[in-house]
Amino acid sequence: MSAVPTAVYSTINASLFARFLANDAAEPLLAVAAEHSLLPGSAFADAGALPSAPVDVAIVVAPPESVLTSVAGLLGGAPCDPQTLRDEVDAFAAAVSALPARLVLVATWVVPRRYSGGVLALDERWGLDGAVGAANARLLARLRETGTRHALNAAGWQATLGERAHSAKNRYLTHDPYAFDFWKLAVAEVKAALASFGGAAKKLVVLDLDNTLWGGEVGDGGAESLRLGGHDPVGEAFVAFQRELLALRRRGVLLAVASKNDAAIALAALDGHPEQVIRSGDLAGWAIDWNDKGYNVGMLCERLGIAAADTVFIDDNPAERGAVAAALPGITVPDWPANPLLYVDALRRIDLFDVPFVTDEDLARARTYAATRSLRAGVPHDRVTRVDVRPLSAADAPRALQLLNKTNQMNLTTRRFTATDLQPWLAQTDRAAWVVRVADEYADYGLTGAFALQFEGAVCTVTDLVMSCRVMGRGVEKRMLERAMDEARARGCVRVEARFVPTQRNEPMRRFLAERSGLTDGGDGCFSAGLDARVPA
Amino acid sequence: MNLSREAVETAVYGAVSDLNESLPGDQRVALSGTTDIFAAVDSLAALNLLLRIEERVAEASGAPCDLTEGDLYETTLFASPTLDQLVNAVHASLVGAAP
Repeated sequence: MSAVPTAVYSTINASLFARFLANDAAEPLLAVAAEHSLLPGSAFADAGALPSAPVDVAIVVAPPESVLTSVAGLLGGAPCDPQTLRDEVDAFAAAVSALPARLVLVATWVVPRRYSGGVLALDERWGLDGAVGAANARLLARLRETGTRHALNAAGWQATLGERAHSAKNRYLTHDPYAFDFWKLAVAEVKAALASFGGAAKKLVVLDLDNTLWGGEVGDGGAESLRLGGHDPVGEAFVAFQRELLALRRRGVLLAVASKNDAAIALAALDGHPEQVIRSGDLAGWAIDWNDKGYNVGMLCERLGIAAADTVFIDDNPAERGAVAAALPGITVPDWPANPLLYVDALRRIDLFDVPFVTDEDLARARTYAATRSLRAGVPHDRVTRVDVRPLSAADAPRALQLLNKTNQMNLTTRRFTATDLQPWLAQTDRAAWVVRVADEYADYGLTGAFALQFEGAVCTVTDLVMSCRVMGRGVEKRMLERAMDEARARGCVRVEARFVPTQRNEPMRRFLAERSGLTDGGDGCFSAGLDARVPA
Repeated sequence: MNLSREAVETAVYGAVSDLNESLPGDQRVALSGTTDIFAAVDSLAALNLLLRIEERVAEASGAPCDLTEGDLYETTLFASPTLDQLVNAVHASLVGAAP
């Protein structure tokens, strides 16, 4: 993968940050094309004066006192006028919005090294914490309006590091008030944010049961022997861990179980233990038997239509962790603490679940998977699937954008977009896009597919075609292609083409094109057919 | 502050490893006692390294460490020591002896 052109804008010396960014080995790799050290004060207030070589990503780090005159005044003992502060924040947000980058990440403002304001600390007129808090809230609201400018939680880095976030000496030696660890944490957060925009967030957590989800071995003593809840720190820790997992599920991450146990006994504990938080109804699937775990986890991924690379496996047993990691290249298998009291912290440290926004489809995903477990067990899919194809509307755009940016397996080109890229592209008269909703008698899967077409004379090109893995294997992709061909015919085209761009993960799309689409492989990744043809039944 | 030379060496080498994370692959500082440490990096990296050594030593000893004032600062920045000499200088400064 090539490095992403990146610029750093700062009113302090952010060279160490830029160097870490440029040399950090985690994906996505960044090429720091420019580092703009701007003068404090009015530098950000005049968008037109900012350096303007376009890049993909811009990162802005500016201490509040360097860009907000009101905050500088507070440090000098003057009161802060709330309306003036809001105006200054708006000017800063406007300048940030105008930066020549597809995506801008802005570090939220951090209160300068411990500045005690006593009981006035949180007062917006006299307190630094109050003024900076109000400024951050205003900034977030302004950035939210843009869709492509986002905040990085720098206050969180400071909270994590405490006093170690700042370096009084560095401030004077290099004009950088922050310490080494602050910038390392900043780089990790930038990478996690960019990975989430690139669709790298994990979608599935597969869990062991004994001594992972609960304490003890259910096969030995039954549900009543388990350490779960009660007046027991270990039992409480397992309950807290389950609550943490359930919180992930509510945000759209699927949960599944792979356990070497007697299924009837284990499921009885899941649904019968009074302190159990996660019930079988919360699981998208389970494999509870005596098979090899690598096989079972792989089978769960396949059954759920989720790639191993989008999956996290958690097990207290290092041997099982090693076996699953060896069996499924790409799967994330975190080292896991031996002490259950540390499980919640270990889960929180997995910063691979972050997403840039949460859609209704995310919230419904776990429910629909659970609802279709019985369906996957044997009811024929095609009998119940309803597919609704409609032109892309403004209301559908956020979810369509998410699909384009998150989908890997059923993705024709794996082109990634921002809102600002998509709208001008679609505004051209020779282009159009549709979205697809899928439902069946068990669940509404929501907006799970999208495709875009470009019409050039007699040829219609499918420029993008993406479909969520949640509805794979139901013939939805065929319905999408059929609709694309109908649109092409209606516009007088005689030929349809789809240029496949291979990645490490979109083999399912290639197989569809090669085996089930009715299109002919030209040998160069271009699949095509005359429009007198039909998609095979 | 009572820190063995080995502990100081660990802290200094750890700081150099940290610094290397900010440098391109071909500019990383070799973790060798004979490396001319400040000839290998620019002035910003040199300052970052000194401050990182302070943090690492303070972490190891539990007490503040000051390398950016007085003779040691002059010595480390301008005398172009090897990594071994830097370890010795830091260790000597901690035990109060002349480096």
